[in-house]
Amino acid sequence: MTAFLDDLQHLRTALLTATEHNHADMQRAAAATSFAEPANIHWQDGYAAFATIRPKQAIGLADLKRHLGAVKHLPKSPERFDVRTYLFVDTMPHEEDVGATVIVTTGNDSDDVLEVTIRRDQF
Amino acid sequence: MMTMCNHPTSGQCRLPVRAAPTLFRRLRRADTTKDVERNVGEVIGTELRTVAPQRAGRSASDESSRVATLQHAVGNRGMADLFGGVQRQPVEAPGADVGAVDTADPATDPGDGPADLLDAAQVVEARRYYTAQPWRYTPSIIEQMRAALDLPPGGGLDDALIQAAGRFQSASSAPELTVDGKIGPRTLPRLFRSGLNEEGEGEAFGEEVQTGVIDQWATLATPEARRDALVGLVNQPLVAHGSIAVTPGWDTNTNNSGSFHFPTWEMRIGREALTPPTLSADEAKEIADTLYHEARHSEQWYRMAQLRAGQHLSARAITTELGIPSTVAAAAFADPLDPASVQGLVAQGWWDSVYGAGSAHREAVLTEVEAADTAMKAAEKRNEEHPSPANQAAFDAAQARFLRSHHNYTELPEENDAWATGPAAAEGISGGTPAPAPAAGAAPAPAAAPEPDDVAPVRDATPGGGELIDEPAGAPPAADASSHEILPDENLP
Repeated sequence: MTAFLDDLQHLRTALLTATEHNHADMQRAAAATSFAEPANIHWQDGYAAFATIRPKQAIGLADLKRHLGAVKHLPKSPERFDVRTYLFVDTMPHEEDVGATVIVTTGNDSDDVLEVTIRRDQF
Repeated sequence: MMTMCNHPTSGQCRLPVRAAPTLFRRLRRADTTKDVERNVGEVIGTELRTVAPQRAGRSASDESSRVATLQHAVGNRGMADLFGGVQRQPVEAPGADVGAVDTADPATDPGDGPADLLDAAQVVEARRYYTAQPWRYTPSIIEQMRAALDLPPGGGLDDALIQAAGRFQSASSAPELTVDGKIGPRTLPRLFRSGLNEEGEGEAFGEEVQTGVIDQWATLATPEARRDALVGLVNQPLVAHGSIAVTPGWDTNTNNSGSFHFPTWEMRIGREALTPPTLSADEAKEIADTLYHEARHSEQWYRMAQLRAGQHLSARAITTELGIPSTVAAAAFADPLDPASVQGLVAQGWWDSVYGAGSAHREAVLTEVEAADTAMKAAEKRNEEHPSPANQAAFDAAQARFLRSHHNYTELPEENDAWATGPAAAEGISGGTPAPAPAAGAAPAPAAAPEPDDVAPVRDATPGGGELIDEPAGAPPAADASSHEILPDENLP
């Protein structure tokens, strides 16, 4: 769990500084050993808009809440009925700041984290 | 959108010849949603018994193919057909041609004045629906409703308006609207078309898909290239209508042919649909329909964000409440929707369902449709592997449960709108992928097998204060909390 959290934090930091032409740190962070496979990174306007990873070992939502704070349960995306989605509100940047918001999905009947998305947000 | 085409051998999904006309005949006689549910449930039970009268003695492959094709019939566009795909016939005026189907749009062509569809009690109830929500059905909105229904101005909430609303609902395409005279969250977007559901937009998109993707299928070569081309095409009308372009992604849920993931603003498409070397016309239509359906969802989500901006939420509060990217929230904040406008009212209906007072119901409905689909597949598998009357009955029950849950899902306002919008794109598809060109010196490749003629290709605010609100909503903004109440909805059970 500690390793995953550390790797997640590294990825969050790298995502904020990476650009499409300079993302060596991002590539290293995306290939962390606690991830099931290298992070899937989406670039937009030259920046990393979001990265998606799956934990290699089972991690519970409650575990992440202890470290990342409270969650907001988001509505189900259209046509995606098999998962629940949670946004960690304390990971969002404040006004006039940029940050890496953490969003996770779990199954409907389980708190095991299926996917973690780190999204670049700026206000 | 859910697809359950899992034909064990051909990969093609067609409704059995005997089942198709029976289903459609029963649906044409259905007058209400509940009749449709009952009819479809009865028909499915009847058809399963008809096509497999000696179920225990039939081979598993025979059964699985019939069940699979019927399952596919209740997925995706097939469901649109099952729950009102055939345009309902309005009540005929005395002396009218009984066999005629009135396809006129009452909003523009009132025709010969068909008989009123609502009785006195329904008219009273419909009027109460409007008068109980004066902050939504303002005099301006009511006048616009009258104009859209081709009624003279100044009549207010008279019987003519309510009866005209009923006639409009009666003539609606799938998913059928309940005929109750209440122009609520399902009827409003159909009466006041905007963006992707404007007349002609869907078909134009489908034509672009035909020439830009279907006809170029072999050239595009990979699922990724096809996906990116499709998303590139759907982004054009989205942006042209003032919405936000979506990002292409893959949908990992094998039940799905596509989904819209609003936290990352992705259009996620099922890879399986884009992998085959060729596509039939039906498969091409399915892809176009799915893309357009999901694109409509992205448009809905953006309109909801614009509505909240119009209700004085900050970009950060919009991001937190809706869970959308900050870039989308910022765009919405810069281009707010007037909550008092018709399109503001349309967006309010969607917001009420997804984020407001209807959100718990929505969550329960979507969770149940997934559970019912899983249960149906499990019952089908048990029946295939161990055919017996008990397992057949269990499968029938599971299928009925799924149909009920799917109906509830299409009744959600945002889904009702997307299901009504998607099929327009399929109208622009003229055929499947071209036959591959023969190699030099080789005999010409055979043309794709023609579609069988006798099989129906059935496939399933609020007024805010003046201050900027920077707190995420667990509740709507102050001033008038009642503006976010869900009053008795037009189609609630």
